[in-house]
Formats: sequence, structure tokens, C-alpha cells
Amino acid sequence: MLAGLTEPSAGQVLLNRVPWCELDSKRRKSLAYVGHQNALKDGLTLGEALSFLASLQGLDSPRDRARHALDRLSLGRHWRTPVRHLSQGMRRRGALARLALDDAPRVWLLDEPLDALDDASVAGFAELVDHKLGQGSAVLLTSHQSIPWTNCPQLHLGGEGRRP
Amino acid sequence: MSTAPIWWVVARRDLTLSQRRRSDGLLPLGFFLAAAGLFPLGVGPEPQTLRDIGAGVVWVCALLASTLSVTQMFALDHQDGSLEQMVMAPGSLVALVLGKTLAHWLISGLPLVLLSPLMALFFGMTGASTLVLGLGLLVGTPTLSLLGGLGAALTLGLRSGAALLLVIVLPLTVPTLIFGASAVSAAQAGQSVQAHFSLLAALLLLSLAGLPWASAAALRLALD
Amino acid sequence: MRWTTFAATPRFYALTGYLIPGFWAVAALLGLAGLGLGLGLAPSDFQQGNVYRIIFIHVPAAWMSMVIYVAMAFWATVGWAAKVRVASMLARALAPTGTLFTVITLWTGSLWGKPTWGTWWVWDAKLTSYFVLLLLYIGYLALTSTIEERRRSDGAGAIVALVGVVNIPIIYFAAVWWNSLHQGPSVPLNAAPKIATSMLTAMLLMTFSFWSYAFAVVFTRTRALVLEEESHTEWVQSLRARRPSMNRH
Repeated sequence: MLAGLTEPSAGQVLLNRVPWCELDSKRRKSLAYVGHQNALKDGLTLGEALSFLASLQGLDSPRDRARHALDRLSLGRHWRTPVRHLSQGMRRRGALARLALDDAPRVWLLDEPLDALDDASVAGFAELVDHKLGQGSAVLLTSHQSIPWTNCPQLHLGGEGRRP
Repeated sequence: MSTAPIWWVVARRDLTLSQRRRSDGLLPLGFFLAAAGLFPLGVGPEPQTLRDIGAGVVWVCALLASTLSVTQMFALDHQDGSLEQMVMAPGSLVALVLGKTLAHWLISGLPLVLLSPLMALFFGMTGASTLVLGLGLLVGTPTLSLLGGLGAALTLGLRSGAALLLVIVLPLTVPTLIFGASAVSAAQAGQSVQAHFSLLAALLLLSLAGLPWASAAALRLALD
Repeated sequence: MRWTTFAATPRFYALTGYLIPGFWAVAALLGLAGLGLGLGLAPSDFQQGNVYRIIFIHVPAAWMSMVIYVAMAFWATVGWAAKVRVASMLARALAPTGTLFTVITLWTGSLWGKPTWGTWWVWDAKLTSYFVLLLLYIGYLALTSTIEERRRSDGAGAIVALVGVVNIPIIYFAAVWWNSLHQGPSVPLNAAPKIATSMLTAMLLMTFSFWSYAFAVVFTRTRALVLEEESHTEWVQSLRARRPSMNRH
């Protein structure tokens, strides 16, 4: 719902006080969503896949940005590796590399980002999120696992998605 | 490096993917060849009969071949989450749909056009008829891709999607089919084909104007 | 009272409840009058004798099938764009009746064609594009019944119906644009009708009879859809409590 894909049955979703359905292209640029699925195509190389996602986001120099982002997440040597040859953890990191594509402040919605990540990767991801927060971005994520941050507000939801 | 237009980026991506999965482009072509090739075997080799039915048969087979492959246009992206990202992207979804349709046409439509002279040979068509057949397909297959795209977007993720897609799309392709095939008949009879081509072109323009927008709307509905 | 007053389902339900018996009555009366005039009193045709009388069903049914398609596309679009649920339900209710009229037209046309043209069917421009209309109706029905999720079903139906609306003017003008076996329109838009007055009157009576019938049937179907989709709401529950006969369904 927050990503604007489904309409809420009650209430409204507002971004900077503007209802989501009225968001124009410019405002949509400031919202980014990494879903449960990685959106990396099996048939492409990691580099190609991430470059494509960078282009979708409307960023310039997509290939350079993708290369830089992958280096940041220690995936640089897999630039030419087809996505289907990567492990689940590496694919997840590849998907999360989108966070490192540019420095513009955004609202990031992450659905189960820690899925399939090992401890070292989780630590790396935590550092990346801190970096984004420092740039003025907001990060909203869901997780079944415990999150290694202590200084962020946490919301615990009951079974049906309502506040308990 | 400046940003390339998004329709070109997505078209190029789809072309790359297709290139690596050879079967994508070969399947419609194979179907086209086999299906059209069955007719002379079925109705007998009498040249006049073949000349009479040739245009219609080739056009129908091209139509079916194009529609066969269109079911995958959005389905694969839907499965791995790419479609979600496309719908959410700040750019125009209509441009993305156009890009994917262009890729589909280049992969599944244009090869049919290029293979049509061979088909014309199967049915004993003259040089002029062959040319009219090829040009007609050149103008008509993009329309078929556009219509197929709409059908694919509307039936995304539904069970029995392929059959439903055919039921929805085939009636809409009838005008293109009729004008394309009758153009060849007209050429065979020595008549002018100008009206036919004008109508084919008009259908293409009309489709280009309205269908990508309708497909984008259908995609948004499908992803809800 | 604003025109959107009846967009609210309870009011729509109540209003149509009053209207439907009236529509049935009008349909029956006009139908009897039309058939009486057409089958009994109108003169024999110069060329075709009495076979032509099937026109009194064939042409009104054809007109209705096209009008209903346009209405279906219209209401589906209103329902989707303005998010008026009743409009989408109306569109969905129109489809089966439109399909029925299309089938009646094709069947009576065929029965008429055999004695007069010597053939049950011919692929001329008018018949071909009319056949496409049948396929469009079937496509709409197939798509809307396959999609289970309401919102998507309404929107997809609207898109399909809209794209197909282009076919309607083609059908109407097909006999004029392409020289074909089928005669041109008997009641052209911009000239005096070419047929005898009594025949015209009978055709119009039948047309309005069919129209009234369509209203009755479509409203009945829409009411059933309303009850089905809003069965969980308070107004439907209280309706059920007041009228136990409804619980038979």
C-alpha cells in the first residue's frame, strides 16, 4: 500500500502531505521500493540488471552508477556474472545495491531486506542504511529478524496488520 | 553520458534477453513455417487453389504466431518483480509498454515479414503479390504486436490466460487481417492496393495512439 | 435531486424495483402492437413477398445489440473512471442481453438470407463486422467472468469494451462503404426512410419494445449483482429480514 501499488480500503497514504495517487513524476522519483522479489532478471548479468534498474529510476550514467554501487557492496567482481549463477544472498545484496546508486534523499521502502543475508552482509547493509539516513533519506523496512539498530523507531504489528 | 529514452532502454534489454534465450525468437518463426507449410500438404498441390488461399493462410499464421509469443510479454517480468518496478518507476509506463512492444515486434514480428517471400513461394505467388504480402505484413505486424500487448496486459496472471488472450485479441485483429489479405488478392487481380495500405496504415496509427495507454492502464490494474 | 443520487446502491435498488414491472408491461404492449402491425397489417413487400417480415425482429434486434454495446462501454467506463460501482454492475448486466440480441440478429438474418439470397451466410463487410461484434461480446464476458477481483474486472472490462466500440460505426456504415450483398440502411441518418410508413412504424414499435425489455432484464440482473456484492451490508441484511422470500436464492 505504501508503495502505491494497492489502494487502502480506508484512510489515505500521504507523502509529504500529498496523497499518493496525486503524486506526479517528479515526486515519484523520491520514492523507491525494493520488494520481496529482487527484480533482477536471470538472463542478464548483474551489471546489466542493476544498470537497468538505475535507468528505470531515471538516473543518468546508469552503468557507472551501477558499477560504483556494486563495488560498494563488494559485488564488483560479479559485474559480468549472469544473475542466475548468483546465490540468493548475493542476489539480495544486488537488489539492495540500488540504495547506493545515488545520493539523492528519498523515501526507501524495503520489504524483508534481510532475507537470505548472512551476518556479515547484514552488518554491511546496516552501514549502508546509516549512510543513506545521513544523506537525508528515510528508510522504512519490514523484517522478521531482529534488526541491528537501536536508535530507530520500531513498530510491532499484529497478525492482521493492525496496531495491536 | 546522458540518459537514453526509457523505451529504448527496455527494448534493448528485452532484445538482449531474447538473444540469450534463443527459443524466444525461433518459436513463432517455427510455428509460422510449420503451420503455413501444412496447408499445401492438406489441401493438395493444385497451384490455383494455393494461389487463392495463400494470402489468407499466411496472414492467419502470422497472426497466430505473433499472438503465441505475446503471452510472455509481461508474464516473465511479473514473475521476478521487474514489472512491479516498472509500474512504480517515475518515468512513463506508456513509454515502457511501447519499448516492450517494439522489442516483441523485432523478435516475433519482423522475422515473419522477412520469411514471407518463402511463404509466398510455397503458395506460388507472383513477384508483385509477394511484395504486397511482405509490405502488408510489415505494416500489419506492429499492429498485431500492439493488440497482443493489450491482451497480455489484460490477462496478466490469470489462469487460462492464453486462451482468454486469443478470445479478446483475435476479434480486434480482424480488420488488419482482412485488409492485409485482400491487398494481396487485389494485387493478384491486378487492382490497386492503395486503399488497402492506407487502411492498414490508419489501423497502425490508431493502435499506436490508443493501445499503449490502454495497456499501461491494464497493467496498473493487474498489479493492484 | 442530483443525477448521481441513484449511484448509491440502496436507492438504485429501490428505484429499479418500482420501474421494472412497468418496463415489462411496456415491452409486452409495444411488442404485441409491433408484431400485430408488422405481421398482420403491413403490406407484402414488392420483391420478397412475406418472407421480409422477419425484418421486424431482425432489424430491431440488430439496433439493440449495437446500442447495448455502446451503453455497456459507456457504463463500464463511468464505473471505472468515476469509481461508481453501480455503473460497472450495469455494464456487466448489459453484456448477456446484448449477446442475446446479437445471436437473434445473426439467426434471423440467416433465416432471411436463405430464401432471399440463396445462402445462409456470406462474408461481406456488414456480416463480418457484425460477427466481430459477437466475438467482442464473448470476449468481454469471458474476461470479466475470469477475473475474480472486482476492481480489476471492472477496469479490464471497461478497457476491452472501449477498444471494441470502434467496431460499431464500422458495422453501421459497412454496407454503405463497401458494396455488398446486404442492403444499405433502411432508415438512413440523413435522408427520408426508404420503406413504407406502416413497416417503419412496426419496426419502431418493436425497437422500443426490445428496448423496454432490455431495461427490464438488465435492471433485474443488476439488482441481483447488487445484492450479491453487497450481501454483507446493513441495508441488504435488513432487506432480507423484511422480505424472507429473498432468501430463497
